[in-house]
Amino acid sequence: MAHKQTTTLDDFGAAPAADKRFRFVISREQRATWLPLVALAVLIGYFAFKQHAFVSGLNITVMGAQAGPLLLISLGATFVVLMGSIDLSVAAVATLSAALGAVLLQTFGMSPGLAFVATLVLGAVCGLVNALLSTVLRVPSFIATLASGSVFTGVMLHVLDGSALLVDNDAISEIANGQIIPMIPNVLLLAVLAWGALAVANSHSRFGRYIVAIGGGERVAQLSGIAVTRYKTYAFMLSSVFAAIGGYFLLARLGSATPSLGDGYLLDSIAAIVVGGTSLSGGVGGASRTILGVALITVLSNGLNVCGVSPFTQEIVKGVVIVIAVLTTIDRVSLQQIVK
Amino acid sequence: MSELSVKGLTFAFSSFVALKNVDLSIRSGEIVGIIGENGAGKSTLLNILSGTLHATSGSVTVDGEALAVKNYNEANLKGIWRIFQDPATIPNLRVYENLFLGHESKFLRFGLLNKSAMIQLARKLVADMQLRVDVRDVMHKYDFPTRQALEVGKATLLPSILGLSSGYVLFDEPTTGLTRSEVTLLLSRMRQLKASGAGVAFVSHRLQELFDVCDRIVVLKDGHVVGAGATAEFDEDKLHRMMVGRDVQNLAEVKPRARSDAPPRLVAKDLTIYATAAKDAHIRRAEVDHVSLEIGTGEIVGIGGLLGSGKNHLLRLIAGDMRASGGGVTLDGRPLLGSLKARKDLGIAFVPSDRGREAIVGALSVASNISLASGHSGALGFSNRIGIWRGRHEQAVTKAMIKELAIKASPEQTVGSLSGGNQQKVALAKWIHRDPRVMLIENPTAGVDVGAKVEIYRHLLALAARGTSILYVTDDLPELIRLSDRVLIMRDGGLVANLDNRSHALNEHELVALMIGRSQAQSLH
Amino acid sequence: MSLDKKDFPRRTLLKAAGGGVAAAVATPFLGGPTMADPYKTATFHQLLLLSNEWCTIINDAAHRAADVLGLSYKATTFNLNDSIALTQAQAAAAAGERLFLTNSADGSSLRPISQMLGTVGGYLVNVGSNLPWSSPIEDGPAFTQGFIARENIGFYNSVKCMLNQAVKKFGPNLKILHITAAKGAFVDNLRSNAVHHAVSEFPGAKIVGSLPGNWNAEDGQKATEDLISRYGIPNCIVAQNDGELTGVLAALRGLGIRAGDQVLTCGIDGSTDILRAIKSGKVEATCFQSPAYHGIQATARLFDALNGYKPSAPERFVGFTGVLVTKANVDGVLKRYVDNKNLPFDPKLLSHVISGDKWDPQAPLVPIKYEDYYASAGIAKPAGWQPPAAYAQSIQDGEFDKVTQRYQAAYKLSLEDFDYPGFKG
Repeated sequence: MAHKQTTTLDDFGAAPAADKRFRFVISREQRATWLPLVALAVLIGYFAFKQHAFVSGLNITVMGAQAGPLLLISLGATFVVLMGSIDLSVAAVATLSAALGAVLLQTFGMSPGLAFVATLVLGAVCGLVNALLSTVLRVPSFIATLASGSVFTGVMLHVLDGSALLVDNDAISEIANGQIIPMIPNVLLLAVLAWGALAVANSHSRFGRYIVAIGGGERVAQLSGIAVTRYKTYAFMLSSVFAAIGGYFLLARLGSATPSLGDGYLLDSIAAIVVGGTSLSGGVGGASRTILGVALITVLSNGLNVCGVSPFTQEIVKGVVIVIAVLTTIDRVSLQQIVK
Repeated sequence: MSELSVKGLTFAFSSFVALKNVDLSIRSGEIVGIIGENGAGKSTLLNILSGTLHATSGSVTVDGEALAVKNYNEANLKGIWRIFQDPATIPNLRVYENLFLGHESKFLRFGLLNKSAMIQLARKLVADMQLRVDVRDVMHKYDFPTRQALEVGKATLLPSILGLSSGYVLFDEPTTGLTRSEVTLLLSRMRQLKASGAGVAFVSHRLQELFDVCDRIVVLKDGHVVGAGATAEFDEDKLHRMMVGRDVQNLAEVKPRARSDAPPRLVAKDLTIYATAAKDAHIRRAEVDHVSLEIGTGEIVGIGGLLGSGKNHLLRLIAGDMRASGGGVTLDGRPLLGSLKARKDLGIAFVPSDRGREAIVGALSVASNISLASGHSGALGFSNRIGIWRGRHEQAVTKAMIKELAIKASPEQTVGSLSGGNQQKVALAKWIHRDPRVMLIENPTAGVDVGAKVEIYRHLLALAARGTSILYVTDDLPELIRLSDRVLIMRDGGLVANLDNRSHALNEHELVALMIGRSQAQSLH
Repeated sequence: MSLDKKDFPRRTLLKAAGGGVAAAVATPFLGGPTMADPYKTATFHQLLLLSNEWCTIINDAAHRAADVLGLSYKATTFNLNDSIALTQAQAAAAAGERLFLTNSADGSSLRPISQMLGTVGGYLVNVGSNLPWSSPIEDGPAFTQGFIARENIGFYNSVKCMLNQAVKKFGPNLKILHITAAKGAFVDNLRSNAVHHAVSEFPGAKIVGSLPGNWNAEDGQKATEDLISRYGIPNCIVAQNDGELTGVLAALRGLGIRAGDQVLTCGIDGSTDILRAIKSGKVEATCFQSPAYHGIQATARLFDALNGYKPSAPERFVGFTGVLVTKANVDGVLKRYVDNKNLPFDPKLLSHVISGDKWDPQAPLVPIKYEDYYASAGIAKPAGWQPPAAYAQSIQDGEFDKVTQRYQAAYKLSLEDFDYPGFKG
């Protein structure tokens, strides 16, 4: 029967209901913030107890280096998820960026700085393609970015000719692995700085506020005179630019570009965004939370490895932890809606 | 004589009690009106009666036998039907599929759906409701009033079509989105139901409708029954007092004072838009047909008209949400062109009536909603030139708006958690703080309770007094008469009357006659 | 610089001129320009994965060998998914293609492809994985040859070479980390057994930890980082292939550990990156298993099959041991196999039909005994397993040994003849 299964807000009295709901909403917000932290603390405690090496300085540096690229890739994509779309092309853009960077550095002998700028331009172009498909041609972002990701992968295979390309340059490794602050690899430092900037942009800039509004109600935003298409384009470009930065640092970290470089980063980034507390239906969450999701996923995968859990069991544990994290943190009300 | 009754009914949501010790009965062959402010517990009561909620304590009985239903479908089988306030149709399904959703098993033939039978019965239903609907079209082609009318048709006619008993029919604010003639039709349908022996519960904000059809009236306030008795025992004032627990200002008091004629602010000339549906292309019917109008500075102009008269299209053409096929608009002598955003920047504000979908973002805070249309930089804006948000300014404006419009909420509260009246105030506040030159409003008080209604009228009058011109459409005739300086009536896309409300008092009959045309008016009254 | 770029820079050019080159090359063997081409030709189709260096080199080499032998060439990429390989083979066969080379991911597509080819008269060579305890003979005559690299020997050599160096450097007690591959895969088992075999010969050496690197550099890097976090800096790291070894080196560099000095490493396959790393002293050893040979040898087999050559039972499952590469011979390997524009093997000398008695496998190619090969992966013989009758017969009547001797006798151009300039294709 097509009727409301849920009770409407009117059901619970005007003023007292409002207060009641208000408290409920706050607690949900708090839950989204605190539960990933609690889960993180529990995991860290457990792994530290199981294996002391987990909390060694060396391993903390290692985790930082592993988390950096994932954080970079997830941060930009958070804005796309926040506005109610999804970007499935981030891993492909990251790999393409690494491939381009490797060719520019190795074959054309370009300086690391110039190559970095080139990958930024590449990211912007990829984002523009996604935005064009999604906004002008009105292809749902799920399909648009799935398809564009396939195209970017194909271009990457052409660029690399299917093989790994070694960048024979120790300076490039220093970009990612060097430690301006002791114990903190540069890639993590940069990612955390980017996180700070984007978290502030999310809550304290026109762009961030509009993205949340579009995610909460695109039609409302449109009728409020917000240039929805333009802001969606910005979000897609931001996502791809950060994927490209992430890819460049993956290259710097590994020292070579391989066609499978970005494998796994797509699912990890979406998991990080959602576990952090950004709802896939849009409008709820934010870039500030994504760092928690990234931390959770990195700690989980590193901790299981360091504790010597069988790779088969690891897959099961990862899946279960992600589902639990999402169930306990995300907006239960949006669960009842159809997830796009 | 059978009876659906509740005794000592209490419903609590965690620590909040929505219904407390409610006694109520609906006998077959009578219409019971249920009235109360938004949040008084009316919907919760109907939800319990129709099986979508389960009481915390107390009993629900039919003819003395406990009613044990798990959901609405089971309630249907027990003869309890309901018209939902918000027609919960599935947009991508066809109309006939929506109508018989959940009852497909009645149409099984050799294990397959007998679609032609479904379509045939759906056509009969639509014809009975006097709707112009092709039942094979997908639902989203039809607007809100049509969908609501279909919902009404579904609950009133399905039982007989499907051969189920219709012991009790519960109407939950069914008239909100309906035009006058449709309301009349609906009320007569209720009387028919009553005559056929069904028990009817009727929840409405519109007192006149209750007085028209109800045998008895029950008044709810904060989950308690605060008054019950035969309709004759009540008058408007008494009901108002009981509902809000205080004397409500008489609506008549807010009748606009006469105003001096000001220079025209908004001038529309020959505005026209054609129906765009591909299959209607050969007809080229104008939905808005060469409409010209003028609105003075600080003038309040209301547009009345039946569903399909084109009044909402006209508003959206001026707002920039729709593109005109012909004609033009000027604002203070300059052409008003471009997108909705461009027009907003020139001082146009547009408040749509489909609140949840078009006017407010329920998941966002009051502050975020109020700043939503003003994220730009500049004097009215909430961000500086490089796009940094002016959070303190936003807080200040939000607090000022909350105070000015008496919104019962904190700036950080999510708008989805507010009552209808407060949501509407937020939807208005979003534009009021911009001091727009022209404010376009669809149904300014739809789904708003009596107390908040009067407040909203006062705020709109104050806004107009500051120089904002207001052009609004409404399906509420008393509202049209009490709020407007001038009343325009549209019929079939054309403007048929321009009535000055200041020089002589308009009456409802006159307006209805203009909306539907003379000949039909005779038969209605 | 990746190998294929330097090695085969004119791939596109060759593609364009493919038919013409083939005809021109084939003609001298006919004995005179007026004679009609006596060799049958068909479209040669490769099912491969293009996104890794190993397969890319096989692809290039096979393509150029096909041009030399007058076969037109096509390739589709099956993403290491055998069910996709089957679909692609069916589509290609329907389009009239008859010669198939695949690098099967797990062997599961081999039987259906062979049977399908049996009905249309086509031929298959596999240079990838086989189902444990399976045989090309069982899958029908269309399955001309299963070709393997004898990794159990090659990898053993590589690990042992590194351990010898390590003992000299660190003494007999060695702490080893092992980056394995996709756990449970046949080749992973095979290589792990080779590692364990080699380590068992050094009483003080111990593998303290292992994690899968899934054949690729990124996972290899993460696994190395996590293992070092857990177990500290080891003496040696064994990577299950050179792709992972690239990740191992990146991890060491990131952690500021000097490869080749604080930690010794080894791998297998002979990827370009790792060959250069051996040259610069960062890696001790790898086993170069020439992907080009995989491609050229297979092309010659398909050409022979098309032209009526009927391989005997032992000839249908063969393999060779690669070259152990250390700093001592890496320059030669790079010279002949990487920095060389010519094909590193002569495709015509690899064809029985064209070369007859002059046939030279150009690598220590030998027939493989199923029992030895599959057992070396540690996979128990299924109960009641019987070798194919023709194979059992060949062992019984000495045919197997005869073929082995014939192959050994025919092997003239050594894999380690680094002065061979290559075949101009």
